[in-house]
Amino acid sequence: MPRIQSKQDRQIDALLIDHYDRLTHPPKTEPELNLMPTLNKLKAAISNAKPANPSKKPEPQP
Amino acid sequence: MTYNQALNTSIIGDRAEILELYRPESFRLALRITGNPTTAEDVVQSAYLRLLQAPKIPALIPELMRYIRRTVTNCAIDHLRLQHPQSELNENLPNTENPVLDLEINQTLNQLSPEHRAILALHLGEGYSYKEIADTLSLPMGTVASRLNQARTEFKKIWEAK
Repeated sequence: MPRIQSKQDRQIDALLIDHYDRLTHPPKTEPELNLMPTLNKLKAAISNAKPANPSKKPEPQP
Repeated sequence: MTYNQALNTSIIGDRAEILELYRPESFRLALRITGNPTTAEDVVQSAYLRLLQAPKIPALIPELMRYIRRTVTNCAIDHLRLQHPQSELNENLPNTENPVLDLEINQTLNQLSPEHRAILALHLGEGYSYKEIADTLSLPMGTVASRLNQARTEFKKIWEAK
């Protein structure tokens, strides 16, 4: 049957539990990039850059 | 191909598909026992070869999972027995969030017997109770408890002497 653990035993257990957890959850090697917001901003910038009425000819300069 | 050969191929094919579903869990257990992903891959390969070649495997899921767990644990113990403690694999920094600490822990665990490493990984890594470990390894509960106690004491002694 499980015996009563000392404080030191619990510390060792916690150290090993964290170790086993880290072993099986390695850090991500590359950050996950979400390019959608950038893409949407670019699209918005392009549509804003278009002239309001492309068929209208520019007025002649004096 | 004879009818019997075809039947055997079909059975082995099905078995491989079923076992494949448990590969991630098997790898995780092997990694926790061995502390090294390359060794863990080898362990899982050996274990799955044994499972595929076994004349019969349990049909019910809980029994099958216990059977897979036992085979993976035994294969991991066999690998650790053959692996030299000063193997290069044991000196590599693990790919974890705290590689220096994890290398030190791995080096300490490498000094324990394979059976002690396995029981620590099953209890503290996988979270199995004494009874589940006893059922998995076909050991009496008292043996599991004393082995776990010895493993913990041994680890603590080496860790504190560092």
